[in-house]
Amino acid sequence: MRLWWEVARRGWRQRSAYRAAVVAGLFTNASFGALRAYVLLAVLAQRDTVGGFDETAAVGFVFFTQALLAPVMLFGWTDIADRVRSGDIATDLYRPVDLQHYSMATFAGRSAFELVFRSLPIVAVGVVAFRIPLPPVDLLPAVVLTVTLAVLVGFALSFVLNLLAFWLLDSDGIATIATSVGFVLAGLAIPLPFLPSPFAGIAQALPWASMLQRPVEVMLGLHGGLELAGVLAVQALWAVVLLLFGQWLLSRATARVVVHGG
Amino acid sequence: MVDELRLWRVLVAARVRSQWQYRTSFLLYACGSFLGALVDFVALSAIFTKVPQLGGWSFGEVAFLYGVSGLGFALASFAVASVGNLSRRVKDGTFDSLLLRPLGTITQLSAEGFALRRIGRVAQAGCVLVLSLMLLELSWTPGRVAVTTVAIACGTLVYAAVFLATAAISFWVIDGAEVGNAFTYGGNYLSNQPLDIYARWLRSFATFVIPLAFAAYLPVAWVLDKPVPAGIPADLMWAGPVVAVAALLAAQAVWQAGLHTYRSTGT
Amino acid sequence: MSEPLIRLVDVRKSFVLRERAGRVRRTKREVLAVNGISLDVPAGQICGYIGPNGAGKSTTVKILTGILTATSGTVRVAGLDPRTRRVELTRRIGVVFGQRTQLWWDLPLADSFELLRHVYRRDLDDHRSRLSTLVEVLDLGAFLATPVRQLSLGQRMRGDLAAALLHAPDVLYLDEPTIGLDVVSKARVGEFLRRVNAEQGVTVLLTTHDLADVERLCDRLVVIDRGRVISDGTVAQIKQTFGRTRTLVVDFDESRAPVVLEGITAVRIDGPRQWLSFDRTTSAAQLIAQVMQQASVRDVSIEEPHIDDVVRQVYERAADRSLTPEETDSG
Repeated sequence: MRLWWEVARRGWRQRSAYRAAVVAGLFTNASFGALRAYVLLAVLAQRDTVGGFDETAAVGFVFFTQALLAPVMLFGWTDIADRVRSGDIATDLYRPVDLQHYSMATFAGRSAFELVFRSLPIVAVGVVAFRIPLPPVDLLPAVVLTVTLAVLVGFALSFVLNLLAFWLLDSDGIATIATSVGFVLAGLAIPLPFLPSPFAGIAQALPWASMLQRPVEVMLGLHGGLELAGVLAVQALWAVVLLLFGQWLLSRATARVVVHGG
Repeated sequence: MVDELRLWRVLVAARVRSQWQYRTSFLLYACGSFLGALVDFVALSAIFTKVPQLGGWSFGEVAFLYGVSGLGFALASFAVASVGNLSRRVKDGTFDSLLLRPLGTITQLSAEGFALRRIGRVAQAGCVLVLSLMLLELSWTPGRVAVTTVAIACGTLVYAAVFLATAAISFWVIDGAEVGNAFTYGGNYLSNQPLDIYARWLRSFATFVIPLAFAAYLPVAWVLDKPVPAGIPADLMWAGPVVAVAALLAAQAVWQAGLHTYRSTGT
Repeated sequence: MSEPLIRLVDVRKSFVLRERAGRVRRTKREVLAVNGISLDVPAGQICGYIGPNGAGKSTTVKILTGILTATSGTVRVAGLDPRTRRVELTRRIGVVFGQRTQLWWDLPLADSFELLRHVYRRDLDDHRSRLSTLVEVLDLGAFLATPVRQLSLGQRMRGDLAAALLHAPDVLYLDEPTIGLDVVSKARVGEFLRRVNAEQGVTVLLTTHDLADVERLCDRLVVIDRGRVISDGTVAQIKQTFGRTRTLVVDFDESRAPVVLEGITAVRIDGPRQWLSFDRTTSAAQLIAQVMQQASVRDVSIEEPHIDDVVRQVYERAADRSLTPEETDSG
């Protein structure tokens, strides 16, 4: 337990050391938020709602997704894949600590940092510039829960994708496709309900949606009662499934390393 | 200058040759980037299943704008996006080696990081452009063709300037260049939609600060006979080429200033 | 040629370091990496440039090559000021960094050479003849087609040397060129450098921690510490000044008490063998004669001061001298 805390702290430090990067990232996220907000506003100028989103919800959606992007690490977390390519992963696998737990702790530290120093400022910009709606106080427990689960799903998915580098000789090409597809499936290009019928439904069921689209819908207060429980349950389900899959992949990878000698 | 371009070609050719050896990898990646960009366009078109226009522009018109803007961006990215490697090279100390050769640092960085796979984006923008031509019922006068071509060229120059200027931030603030994404990819995203949908301050910014409007919106509006929002004189479009060249020169000046700072402060 | 090829006149370089003081605040501190270095290197010399870590060696080389600009002072290399005429100067210099390569990582070695021909705008025939000589002398033939990233350290180093000399520079800067190399490779590199210097008159500035290299190669040794030159002379001269102690190694027939004689400053004993340290001014021959008079000697040999010890003494002497009251007080 103590180890977990120390590793998480290291994860936090990893981000806090690069002030310029944090500020730059913040600026980029906020800018994209503004741009996407304008596009959706142009759409909603012609109709009252689309897919259950009105103007306020749409603008809020855009900023909350941008804010949640960094903690969930939709892109750019290639630590493990890099280490696989360089061969350093061998030392990790020989350590007495489970790689998934270790990575999860690091990830948690980083996400916590991003939540405080990136997500909050981005939401603040949204409030000031676009008057986005903040979740009411009684919704906060649900918000905390959904965000935590989103980060968990984010980690579990990244871990699995990273480990695939063991088997895919050139994961770069696949990674690019995965990134672009993930981008749309998470609701970053446009809110998933804006997509035509069959696609919207399918997309909502996938893990990417549980990382961004769904939690943000919760934060906008679009789900209550049973629906809310449903969203959280699906998030939890994906987290569990992906974590278990990750464990299984890890054992296959470890076996492979031991056989091949690194 | 001509000599630098010749050497740029030589260095790029060497990179391409070595990348071509890993053909399958290159093709996969190029396809990946093509598909990725395509998915982005598909998401945009999904909007038009819900509403008939965006800022007063129809789907075909927006697609045309997207294609012109995207092509300028893709070509600029294809040529010079690697100057972004400046950040990594300054951090690991390998930038100094570039200063030891009788060749410009911009030339070296853009040539040595040249990635053939970026052609995927160029292909995507081209496809969208072709698609839009099929959707639009427009009589293509020589004037329209000329303006469209010049627009794409201006776009390439303007985006190249943005890539350069934002990468140069690394000379002053390590990791600060990440802010560039907001202007390069963000600029492209902004430019893909008609300026009509943005707030006035943003429109002015995109015209008078970072001249993205000259890259696509103004010329396309002229070609399509669309009205231009208040605050931007439509005739400004004819200054496009001058503005684009000036932007590139300004970006180069920023780079030189950054290099000067690097040489006096070290890392 | 009356004008030295490399000239530094009272060169200073200061950096401003921003450091964290506490949680948020940052303080500025000015660091003088190079603090008034004056140096003339005549054409054709092999000059060793050494000093402890942080002495300012790399900074000096960066100023000479134009990577950094000096804060004050005059710098001329081949008559050119690296600050303003850097690009022109690059054609006249070659640089080898021990820890980083100038070659293109993903390309075969031969391709790197071909690219360099273009970059330095070399005439094809000139280039070809120089290249074939370098390939032969450095024995590169076997791996010309191998990508640079697959080369061993020794092979890559030889490749880098060839690359640095391909365009017939006047000056060659070497920064830790033999680091990580095995003994045989080091010797080869050394031989090669001497040869290039002798045959083509290339001036060499060698920065290294490997003092055996220095001893083997350098006509002259400049020692710097804390941004200042603390010693400048031939290797022999430095040994004369600082390497005062030689050692007589005596193998007696049997163990005996330590030898006591005038001139012997220290004794170490291990069984029948004794190491007798004596000052340079004492004649070794005389000492041997005296020792042999005292007891039955099986064998005798003389150890010269090791260059490492000599240089260490140079550093220590300089450190002692620079301990002024101000410096001992500050924290």
